[in-house]
Amino acid sequence: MKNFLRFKIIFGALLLLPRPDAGAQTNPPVSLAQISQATGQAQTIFTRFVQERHLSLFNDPLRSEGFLCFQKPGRIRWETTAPYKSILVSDGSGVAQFEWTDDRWKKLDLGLGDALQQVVSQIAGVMDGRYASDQGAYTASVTNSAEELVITLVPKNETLRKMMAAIEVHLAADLKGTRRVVLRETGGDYTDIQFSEQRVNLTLPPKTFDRSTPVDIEQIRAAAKP
Amino acid sequence: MTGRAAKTLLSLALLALVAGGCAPRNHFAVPSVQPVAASDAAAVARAEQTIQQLYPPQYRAIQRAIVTTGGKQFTCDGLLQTSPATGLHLAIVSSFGVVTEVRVQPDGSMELLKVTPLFREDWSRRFVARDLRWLFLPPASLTPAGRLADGSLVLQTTPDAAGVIARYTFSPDGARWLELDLWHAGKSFYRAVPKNFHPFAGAAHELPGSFAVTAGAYRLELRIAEMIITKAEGQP
Repeated sequence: MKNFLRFKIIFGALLLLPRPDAGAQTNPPVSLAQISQATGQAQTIFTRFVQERHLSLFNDPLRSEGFLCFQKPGRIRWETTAPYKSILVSDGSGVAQFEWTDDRWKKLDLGLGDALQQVVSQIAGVMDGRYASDQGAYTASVTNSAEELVITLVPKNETLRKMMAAIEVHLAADLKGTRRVVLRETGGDYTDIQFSEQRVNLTLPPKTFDRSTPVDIEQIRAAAKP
Repeated sequence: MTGRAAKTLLSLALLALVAGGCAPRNHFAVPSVQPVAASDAAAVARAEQTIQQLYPPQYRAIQRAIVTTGGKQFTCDGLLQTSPATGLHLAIVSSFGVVTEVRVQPDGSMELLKVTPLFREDWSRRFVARDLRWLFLPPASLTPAGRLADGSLVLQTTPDAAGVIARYTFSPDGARWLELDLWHAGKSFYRAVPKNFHPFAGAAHELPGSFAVTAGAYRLELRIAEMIITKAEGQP
């Protein structure tokens, strides 16, 4: 169970894999460490995401979409905008969650905030480009094609493999964009997250990561416009 | 430490989801009802129609839930798919993936489709199936229980094998579902209030956009974030 959740956290962190900046490796073979180093160059990130959970017993996926913001060190905002509105935000020292109900934002009285902060901190660590140092839990392989680079992570633990077949991280071939992350579970279920409108090293508005009154997402989007 | 923290977090969050079933039951005040009169027949018939035809025969819905217990709150998503032939199929999804999948057949029987390390099997059977059945599956039949002092009309089911009775409260004319109470041994231990009625695209009438559920030591705020109505087989 512990390893399973650890793996899930790693996956969660990979969902937030940042776009490497210019100057990254472009010639194969590219090592995981090189990718990690490239991702570590990002100080801030803003990206749109579309997440689809494909469940084998359902005809249609569970689809959601929203925006991800990241700022070193360890500030994260995962905002779902459809089909419901929700904000999970960490300012690096604590986490908060907001839900849009009855036409207003309602701050949840989160239980276990310290534990949740540890989880978010782990994600931030990955975004800092440190996830390559945690290769003990999985076997990583990198494949290149003309259009993209795919990192495939396979759990080393046999018990984990029975639940989670692999994680695929799809990067643009020039490492200038994280296009997609796919979590493949055993049994056919998988989660597909596609990223678009990525901006790196932009100036995010004040209170982007505020745990009391986070700034409206439209202000962030305005700041992210090229 | 992260894995341990996450495990603790998730375990407690999921515990919170089902805490109502583990804690001593709170009971709600039970208002007295006056017997219905012969002149109430039309309202009774309307109420039965209201609940039986509340949901489309076949649809798919995305739900968002906030569970409160012990003053703390947790969230999860639900994917619900319904059909006249197979009943209600619900998957609950947390940040860590699918938690459980259950199906409630049209006759009210429950089938557990997916068990994960994240959620105890008996919790799915006892609590998830209960919410699913009573909030989204119309009862097979109802009989008049009476009228409340404010004129609201009350209809109820016959006791099930466990002796549980579902009491549905409607507006005086029977046109709007107002509340659901589950009773056992003459006491109400579960209360659900449908809220935010509005017309989803393709629906013949307004549907509940959310539910406020109080059951034992927990509260559940369940929103219907998205509903896609599909045609059932044989439906023109």
